[in-house]
Amino acid sequence: MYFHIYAIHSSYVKIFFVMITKETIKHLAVLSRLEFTEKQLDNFSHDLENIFNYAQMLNEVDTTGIIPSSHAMPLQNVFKEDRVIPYHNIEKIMANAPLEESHAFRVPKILAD
Amino acid sequence: MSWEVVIGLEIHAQLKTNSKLFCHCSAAFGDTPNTNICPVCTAMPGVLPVLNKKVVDSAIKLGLATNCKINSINEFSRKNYFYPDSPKAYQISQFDKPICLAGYLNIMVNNELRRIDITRIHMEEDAGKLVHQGSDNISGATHSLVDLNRCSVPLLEIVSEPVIRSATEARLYMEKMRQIIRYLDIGDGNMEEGSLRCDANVSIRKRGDIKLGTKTEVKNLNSFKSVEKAINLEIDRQIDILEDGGTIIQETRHYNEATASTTSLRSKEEAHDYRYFPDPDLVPIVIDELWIETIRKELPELPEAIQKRFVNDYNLPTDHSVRLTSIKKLAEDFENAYKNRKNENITPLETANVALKYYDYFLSNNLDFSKSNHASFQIGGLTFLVNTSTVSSSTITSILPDIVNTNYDPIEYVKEKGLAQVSDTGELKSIIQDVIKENPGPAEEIKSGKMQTIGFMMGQIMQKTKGKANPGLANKMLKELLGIS
Repeated sequence: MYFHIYAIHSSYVKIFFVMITKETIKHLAVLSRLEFTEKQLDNFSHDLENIFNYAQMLNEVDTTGIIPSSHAMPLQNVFKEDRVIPYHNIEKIMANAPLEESHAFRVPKILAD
Repeated sequence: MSWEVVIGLEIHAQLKTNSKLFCHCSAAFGDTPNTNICPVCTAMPGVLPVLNKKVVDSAIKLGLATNCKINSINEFSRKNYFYPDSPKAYQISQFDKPICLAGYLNIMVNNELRRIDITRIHMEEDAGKLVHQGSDNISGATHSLVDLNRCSVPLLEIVSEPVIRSATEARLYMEKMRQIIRYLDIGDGNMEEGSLRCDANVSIRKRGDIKLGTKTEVKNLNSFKSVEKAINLEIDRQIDILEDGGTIIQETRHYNEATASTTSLRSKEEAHDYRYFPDPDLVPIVIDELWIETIRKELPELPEAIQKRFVNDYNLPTDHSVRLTSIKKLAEDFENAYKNRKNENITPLETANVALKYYDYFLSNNLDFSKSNHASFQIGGLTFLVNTSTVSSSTITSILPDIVNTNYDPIEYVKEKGLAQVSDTGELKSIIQDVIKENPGPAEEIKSGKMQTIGFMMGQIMQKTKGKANPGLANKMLKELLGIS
């Protein structure tokens, strides 16, 4: 609904052209709690469209019969033991808190008025 | 207008692991805020999550116990959302390749078997805990405090099909799920502490309609009572709106236990765009038959199977066997108590009656039965006392407060306290003879056929024995001595 995809079929290769609109960028900005100026919206939609269409090159490869992979390495079943090893540098993590209260990260009110 | 209620439940069960889902931090509940955290669960750049194998084992266990198909290829996905409880701004969950699919549980509703279908069970990480400040709820808060101890604690999300037809069914299904989780010992199922949670998707439609009505999601159901109450409130609210000609808005509603009402959380139409994609940091998990069969062998006997066995092997009434299997420990204590004394002509039903009385004492006094280490031994002893008519079953009730949570042998206890009924015929005979001697008038009345006077004489016998005469025996001997038996 936010991505306009046009497909051009050849014998076995599908080539898509993706159009990223300003609406798409606005939607992503809301989801990420970001605010953009009109100019930024224009720039980002243009840039993202270029990035997407560059990646479309991958569609030129015939992947018939190849199982999609989710990891770069042909690995499976990597586990850790269910054992507690306390981390000893917690204060370093807490130092990232812009505001700290009762050993917790203090954040502004969550729901808008 | 006749309305049909359609409910689907999403249950979140926290797993009983030592460590978190993807790191070695402790998964313990209730520690000082932000003491069980590390770079992985607080989303520091460059960290690598590694899966806790025990979580996969637990998920397979629950899947098998709820008649699910176990998926051989598993993947984790990132569910993207922005909220202060999630430092990564995504939750690692399973999306299109969940570990369990298409199962079911049977529940009994008004003595009728109802099958509740389970869509899927998947593994995911919990979020951090938010404590809202300046108000007792999120809408009035001035600011919030984030505790990441819970962040990345392992959860199983169990999604039911929208086949639940009433708030009571929802509660019964949830109770059954908790029972199974506890039997499997994969989670503690404590709703009050939040280790078992549920969200209810509720909608209504005209009876006979095929199309589902607009649903609302009711959250913050922290007890079984809340589950039932909140769903009923939501059903009534939706019916009122539709009967007034209004329309239901798809939204999330927050249940407030104190006011027994639900309020709308601001609807965020865009919030449901989670942009799932496979987590490139985690490798696929391939579960083969050998793994599944190994887990299947580890499964304990489940409540339904034990119930059937108790009915078949011990001839127990269904009601008894259902109550005895409500928790695993009670079923085990009953069975051990019976087996340890079965050479003494004790019947399973006698043992079951005592076991239930024993367990009810814990329930009605809010005592923790799980810590009752001598239950089986004491149930056996008490059953022996009842079986041999050493004490009456009402005496059992009165001695329970003194013996539970101790290692007292009930048989010794009764001896020490002199609570045994007098069943010694010689001793009883001389007492009854005394009573007859002291009450010649009433004795003559009985001899001449006035049977009501036996009650008076029995009263005298009980007085002399301080209530310890075995009543059946005393009655019989009295009649014999008066020559009227």
